[in-house]
Amino acid sequence: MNVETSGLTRSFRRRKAVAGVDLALGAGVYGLLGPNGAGKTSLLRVLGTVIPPSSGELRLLGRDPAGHAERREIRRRLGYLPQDLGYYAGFTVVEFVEYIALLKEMPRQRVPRAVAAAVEDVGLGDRARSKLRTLSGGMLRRVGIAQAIVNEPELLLLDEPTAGLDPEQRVQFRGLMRRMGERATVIVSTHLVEDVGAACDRVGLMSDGRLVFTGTPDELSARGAGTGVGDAPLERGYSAVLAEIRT
Amino acid sequence: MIGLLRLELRRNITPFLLPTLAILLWLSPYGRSLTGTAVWTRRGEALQETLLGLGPAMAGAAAWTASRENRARTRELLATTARGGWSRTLPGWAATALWGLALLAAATGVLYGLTARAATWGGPPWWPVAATCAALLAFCSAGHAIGALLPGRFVAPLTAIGTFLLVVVAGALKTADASLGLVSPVGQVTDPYRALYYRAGHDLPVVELIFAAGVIALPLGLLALRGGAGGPLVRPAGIVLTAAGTAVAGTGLWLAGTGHIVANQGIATIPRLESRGDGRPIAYTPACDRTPIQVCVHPAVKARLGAAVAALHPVTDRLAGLPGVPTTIDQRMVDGPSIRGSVLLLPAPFEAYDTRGRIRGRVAREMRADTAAGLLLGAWDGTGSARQAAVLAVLVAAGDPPDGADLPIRDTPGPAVLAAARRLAALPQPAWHQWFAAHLSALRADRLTLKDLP
Repeated sequence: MNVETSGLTRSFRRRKAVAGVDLALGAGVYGLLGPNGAGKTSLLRVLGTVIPPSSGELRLLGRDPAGHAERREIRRRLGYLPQDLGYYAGFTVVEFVEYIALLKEMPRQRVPRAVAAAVEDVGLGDRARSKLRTLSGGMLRRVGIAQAIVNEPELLLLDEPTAGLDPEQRVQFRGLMRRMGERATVIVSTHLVEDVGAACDRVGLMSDGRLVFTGTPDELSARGAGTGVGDAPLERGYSAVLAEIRT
Repeated sequence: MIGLLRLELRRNITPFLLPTLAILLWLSPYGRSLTGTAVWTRRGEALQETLLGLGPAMAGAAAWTASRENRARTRELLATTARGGWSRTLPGWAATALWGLALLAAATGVLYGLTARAATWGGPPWWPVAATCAALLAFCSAGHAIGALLPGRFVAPLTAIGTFLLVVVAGALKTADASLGLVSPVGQVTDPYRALYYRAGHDLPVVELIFAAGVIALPLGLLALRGGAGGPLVRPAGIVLTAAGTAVAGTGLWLAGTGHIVANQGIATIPRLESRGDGRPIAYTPACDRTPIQVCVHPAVKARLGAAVAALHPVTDRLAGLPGVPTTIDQRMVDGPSIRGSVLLLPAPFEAYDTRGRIRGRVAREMRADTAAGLLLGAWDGTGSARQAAVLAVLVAAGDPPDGADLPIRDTPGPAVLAAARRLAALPQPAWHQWFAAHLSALRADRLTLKDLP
């Protein structure tokens, strides 16, 4: 298992953003759905070692991130795309991805090839030498994805990766996620249920910091049969589970 | 680390500051020194003064780079990488420092290269170069720490402005002879021209270097003590750097506190240091011209000999051949004129050495007045109406204004003295010569009154 959590909580003062999450994930693409403020981003930040958990057990890639040496090893094998990607406007696409690769302590001789491959994978090969300040929002999102996958991570955490991408790019990105999911654990937080349906093997639905549903996309769709609100089966399942929780 | 450093070097802000820095350099004493005579000691001091502009600019650049994560909101992303905060930002500091050193090396190369081509005596002083490099690194360290601890959009300009004010205050303390101010790399306390005549030692640059070394280490150490700085080795490294930086900077301050300026020799001595700027005279062979009254200058200012001779010519031409008048004028490090045998020792006119081209205006008139008084009277307290009139007569005959304003005396001479001087100056050359030949001894002994003048 690449991700193992048990009773994982993360509090911000009195508010529990993550309230007892149990997860056990191996290779594959795991979609994380939920309304705004459900705790998806907080959970990803804990899994990304940005913030430590308040309580509960957490093991990532078979290691305990509480220890410095193990956390460092986890981070070498981790890819993370935050919801709000900051970037250095004066860096080129290649330089920014290279910068992150070097900070992830990739062997120097591997970096140029890995950077080129990551930039190609997100379809930015023709803009590789462009300064980030000249790129559109969608292109910047793709730069964010490139930096997350540059080290071929064993654990890839993506917070709303397809926000700002056009339909064609989203289709390409789903393909990329599926490829990554063949050998790594990919956790994608998103509001776009069609991404989940197209690319995820499993899906989790969060509400008020808790995982209120875990299963396959088909199982989630089945929960909405005849009762849910929405245009697509997954949307109906999503709204049905949330309605059930609220009542 | 090398890969990160190369990346940081490519994307550092310092190259974008180059035009501004070039203007700052040109406006600083560095630029002004290029228009003066090529004297090594003068140029070494001017190099240190570049820090007045360069130091704050580099501190600002370092603060800008260090505050980048906060400004660009990359902190969350970078927190998930394997490198801790300290080692992650260190290449940015190193890149700024390397750019600063490269800029300083270029400025030193230009200054010392031009000096090497034109200098006529001595060699390049390297201690000021070392002290300036260390101070530049200290500015980068301090700016880096400020940028990391107080990240914000305005931290870079505020750091630059704050550093500039600090440098100005430190320089003023140093110039005001406050001992602790001696650690400041900026501020003039020693006389670069005096250093041509007396051994100046390295005490001052050494103590500046020690203090700067402490300031380089201290901020980097403090940053390593912050939470999230890095692994288990970073904190001990931070403790060592902080302790060592504090100890070394403190040592620099303590040494400076024991130092003092030897006013009459224009040198700074730190007794605890062994470089011993002991003020012993430096032997040299003066550069002299071949006019009837020979003018000699220090070989370092040989390039100004022709201009000095031309400025003094109206006076020396008038007095040449008079019995008892010295046949050589030696401009050197003395407090006032005195005659030794046939040599008149005159205070070296450093202001005239510092210019280019002909020596004109007030500087030239004062040189002529000192020379006329020295040749006629040797050491002179400025009193005695007849002696004032005689010196003034030489100046009037040389074409200087007949008001006595440039005479080396405290007050402007009275109307009677001015009238006597004009009368004496109006005498035909043979009569003039004859009168001085007959009365020079009495004039020097202050035995004449205005009535004795023709």
